[in-house]
Amino acid sequence: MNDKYSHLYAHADRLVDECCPRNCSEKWLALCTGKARFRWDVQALQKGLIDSLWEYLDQIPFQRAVLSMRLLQAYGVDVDTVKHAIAGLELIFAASVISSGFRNTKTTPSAGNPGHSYPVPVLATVAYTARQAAIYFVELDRPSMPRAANTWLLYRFGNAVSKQAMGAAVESHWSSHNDGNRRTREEYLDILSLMVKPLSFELCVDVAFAAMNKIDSETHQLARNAAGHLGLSVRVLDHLHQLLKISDNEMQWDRVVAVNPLLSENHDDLNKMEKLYHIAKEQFSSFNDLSLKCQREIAFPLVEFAEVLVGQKFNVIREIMHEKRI
Amino acid sequence: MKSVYNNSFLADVHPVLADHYCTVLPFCKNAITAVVTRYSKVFASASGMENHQALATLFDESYKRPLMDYLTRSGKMFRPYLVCLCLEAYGKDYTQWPSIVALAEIIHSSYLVLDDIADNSFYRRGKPTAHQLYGVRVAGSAASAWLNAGGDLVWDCRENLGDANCHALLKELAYEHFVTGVGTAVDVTWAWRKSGDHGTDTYMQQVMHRSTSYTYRLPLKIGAISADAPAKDREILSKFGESVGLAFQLIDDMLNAVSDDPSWGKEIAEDIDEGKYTLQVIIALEELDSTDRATLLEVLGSKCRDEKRLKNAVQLLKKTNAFANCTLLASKYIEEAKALVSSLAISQENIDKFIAFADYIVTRNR
Repeated sequence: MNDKYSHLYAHADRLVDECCPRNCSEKWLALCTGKARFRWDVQALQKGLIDSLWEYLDQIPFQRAVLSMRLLQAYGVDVDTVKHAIAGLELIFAASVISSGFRNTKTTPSAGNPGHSYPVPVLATVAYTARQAAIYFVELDRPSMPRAANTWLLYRFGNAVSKQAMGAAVESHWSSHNDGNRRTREEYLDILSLMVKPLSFELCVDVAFAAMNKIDSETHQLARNAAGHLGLSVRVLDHLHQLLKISDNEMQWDRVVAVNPLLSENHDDLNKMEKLYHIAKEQFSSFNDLSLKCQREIAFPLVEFAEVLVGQKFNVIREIMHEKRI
Repeated sequence: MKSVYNNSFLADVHPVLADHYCTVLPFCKNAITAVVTRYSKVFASASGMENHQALATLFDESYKRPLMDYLTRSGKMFRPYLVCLCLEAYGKDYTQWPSIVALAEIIHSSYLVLDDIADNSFYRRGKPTAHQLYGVRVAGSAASAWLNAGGDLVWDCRENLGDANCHALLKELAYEHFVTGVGTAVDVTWAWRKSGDHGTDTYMQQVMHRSTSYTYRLPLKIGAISADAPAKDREILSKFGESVGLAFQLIDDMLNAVSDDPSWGKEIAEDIDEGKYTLQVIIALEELDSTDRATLLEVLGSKCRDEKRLKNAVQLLKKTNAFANCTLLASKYIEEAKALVSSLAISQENIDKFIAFADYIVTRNR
């Protein structure tokens, strides 16, 4: 990673910590929830909300924040204009990571969650709160933004969270009611798009364009669509990577299949991995085509960011596939 | 578990409110069904789901059905009614606002699904909870999707609302959904940590930001903003909703422990079984002697579903001033709420409806 990106990642760390501090305090609660009418149990919130959320945030490279910041930097807009919204991008992603760990059981396990010290009701509440905090955080940027752009971004955050949840509902239902029918490539991509696109990099682009006060411009639309394809490419690559690492492990296979319906049958058919690889390539190619149609100020940072993020992933996967003779 | 929900509760409601409620209710019911059906189609089309038969079916089963299931279980639909009441009180024709009226109930039902997951409840309105029927991930995701689809409903009404009110409404939805999470985080952490050493103030704070939000504060904010009520009245209606909501929760906690009404539709003393530190439990733990206190703590959160042990725990609560003190506190909030609405810039007839509503909350038994 070059110095420019190291600097941006360090900045993103500081920004998320500033907007969602590791230490819960009356002051932060007053900023976010208003003056307490009674008295908050700050200790309970520290333990059951903040500590558990940061356990996940600490494991996430803040790529979404970095993309928004890079676009703003290229356009000469102060990142602080939308600092809460940028932090919100990472809160939403952390929430998705938490939720993806839940199985579609009929009861809420109240004992420990595998691998974690927090029970499911606590984690489910953390995921919910992180998502909703992200939406409200947009409002906290209101004083530094034009109202129309802020209103639109407020709507966009809610809309993205809603669509992603809609996709998660459909995907979970699909996985838990496997009727044995093969799904087509188009069906797979439709579900994946619904789940991934809204919260992947589309929203990062929206944050940047709202801060620039250039929403719904032609470049915004192009950049947004491009970012959607980048998100799909990254997701498919991540699944493929996961699959290549664990393909001999039957115990974990179920979890991978749940998000890769194409693989729901004959999972020893290595051709399917190659198919996934090609889907990732196609999506990345669409991203590049659309990015290059954007204005130069936007096209350059978009492509540069994607190269840093995805280039390495493709290399790693190619190496593993080569080793496994796929 | 049997549910016999019907309109018999209206016998406990002042006629000024009951008559108006009966007039408005059919519109509310139709608006909710129409809006959920319409938006399900819009979202299915926009996401490409309706292009494939298999996906269209999956979409319907996993997204629309969990919500419709709750919406058709004959709740009282007070939230959409309150939105209509606000619109009418400020001179608006509520029949022109179906999406905004439906929004209040969509949000409420979505929260019930999420609440049932957090509490691991088995029954809602006499039938299995959504996660029992569809699984935790499907039910939770569908509820989260509908909850946040509220922004789409508001956005589509922005011409009618105007820019300022559209922003105000989006902001209030975002705020209330967020603080509900913060309040719930305290609630589930207490149950997880088996922590009962907090007082009335911390209990009321988490209630204020948990159920109080979606019970009445948010519906009244939706109504007041959509009605373009003056700023001062918006503030009053929000505070009215808050105070009524606090009282509602205190009464609800008690009904959870002692209701023997067949229309209650939930398991008895479910909160005790799930380890909820409700105010009545906090008070009882302060007053009971060490032996009884130990017995109550043993049952609290045991998830035993043992009716005999749970009834014994309720008897322990009854030995203390817990129920009496909670009733007193609920009455105090109701009086506070009634005093607030008397200064609204609306007709006395409409003020009386708000007062009658507050009175019903504290006298209800189901």
